[in-house]
Amino acid sequence: MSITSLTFAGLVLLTLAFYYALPRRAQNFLLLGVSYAFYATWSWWYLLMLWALTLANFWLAQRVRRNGQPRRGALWAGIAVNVAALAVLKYEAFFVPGLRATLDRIGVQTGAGGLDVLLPVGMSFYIVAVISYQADVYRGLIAPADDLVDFAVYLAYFPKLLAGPIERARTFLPKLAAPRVVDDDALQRATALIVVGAVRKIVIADTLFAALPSGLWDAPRQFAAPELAGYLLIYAFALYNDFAGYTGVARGVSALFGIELAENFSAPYFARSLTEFWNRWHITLSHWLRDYIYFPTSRALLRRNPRRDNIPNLIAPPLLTMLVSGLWHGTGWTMLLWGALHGLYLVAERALALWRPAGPPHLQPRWRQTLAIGVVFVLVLLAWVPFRAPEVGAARDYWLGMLDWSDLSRPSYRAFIALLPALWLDWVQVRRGDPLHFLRWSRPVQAALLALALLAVFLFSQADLGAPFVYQGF
Amino acid sequence: MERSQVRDTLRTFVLNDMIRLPTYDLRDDEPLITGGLVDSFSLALFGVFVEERFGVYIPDPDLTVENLDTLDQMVARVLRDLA
Repeated sequence: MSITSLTFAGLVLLTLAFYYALPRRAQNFLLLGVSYAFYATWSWWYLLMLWALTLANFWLAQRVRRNGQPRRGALWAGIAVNVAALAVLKYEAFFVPGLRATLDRIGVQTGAGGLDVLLPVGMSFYIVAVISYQADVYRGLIAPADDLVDFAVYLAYFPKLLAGPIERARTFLPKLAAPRVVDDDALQRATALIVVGAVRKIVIADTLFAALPSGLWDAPRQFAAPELAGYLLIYAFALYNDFAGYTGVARGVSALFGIELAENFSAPYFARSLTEFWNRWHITLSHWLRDYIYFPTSRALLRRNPRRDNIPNLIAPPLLTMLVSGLWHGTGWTMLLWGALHGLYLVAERALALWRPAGPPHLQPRWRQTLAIGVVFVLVLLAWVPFRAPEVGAARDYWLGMLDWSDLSRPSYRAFIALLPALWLDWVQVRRGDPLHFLRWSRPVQAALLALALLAVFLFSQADLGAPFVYQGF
Repeated sequence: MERSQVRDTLRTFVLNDMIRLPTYDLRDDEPLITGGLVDSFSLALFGVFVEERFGVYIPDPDLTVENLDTLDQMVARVLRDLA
């Protein structure tokens, strides 16, 4: 069940009809039941896996901190269980062919598809969430959950189950213990988040994805350089609006239940540095990587040598962090290449700052900020090539193809029209500091905007472009 | 240790090592991260500095914008653990 489907809207409305008539504890039971029913519409296998990991993590966390004392062995056991589950299901494409060949060599017949396993949708998201829970319990930042229902809701909560935002237990669990109040303002913001999210997904992202020709990623050398550059631009905005659209709908739906979810995007293509980009793009994952990979690595190295220009201090934390990000996103060398590229970008940015400190970006002259936005955007754009390409060779061909300007064929201008509302939405956020700034406009303007948005969502949904959310695949 | 001593030490560190503009006129309540003066990744430097200078360990997930966005918050966090 997609979260932009009418069935999902029906599920949300039906749940809400009962939700506010119930006491808080029963509300959590209802959320858990609906979340499991929602997940079961994808697959019973996914649900079984979620149950197993919920019980395992609930039990393990009790052992990570016992009688107030942290136990390192239990922490590593908890992390190992989660990483192993993810590795087996997510990275089977890496190791199953080798394993199958080895078994065949020693005479064990695996048969076609005999070792195939299926990655539950959303698993990458709830696994990193629960790893942060185990680590925070170990550090004493949160007590081990003593309520299995609340803990199960933390992992399974249906608005965020498929693709985040990645919530921390120490901010999410207290929300489940508190009464939920949705006043007029909250209702208005929730509705706006859902409408903007639907516009981003159905009107912008699906239209842009549909404009990409087949064969673009498999055989990029069939296309001229202006086409490759133009389609890459379209892909960048399609990917962004796809994920930001999902997040908007998820946050809006959750707000209807009186549970606020974390912000995940903040106009990332207006970032003035690569570091700023990662504070604006998939924020909850970026901050997870910062807190559980970058900070421990960086602090360990700084303790050995506090100099910022010490080579390991400069290189290892960003590179390792971005390689882990690549691994989290998927299997194959292309994702590792994408992660390595971003890691090297960050290393270069830090090295340049050491050599020539520029000061805070917003204190720079306007022309320099604009130039920085352009440079960062182009670098991010180039990195999307391996992110999407099926293999490293295809990514290389795409990059090389963009250098060959002997043929000046270009995509139709019509393909770029959907970029305009995408840019406008982000521009409002950058200028006003609030993605929902238009809620401060006069009522007639808001009503006209809402009518226009709903009409656009209706018309574009009739076109049935409906590509699945990209990040659900991770 | 006096609050003023902690504040002066942290101010010098923030200006020299985080913002890297020693002459910047930083207010005590000025947002460092949400105000764009430093990025949240540089809080690793802050974490190691207060560990070595004051013997205060701040866990990694506590090195957040919510906890440490201003000099006032940084001083309060260090004093909390020194008390």
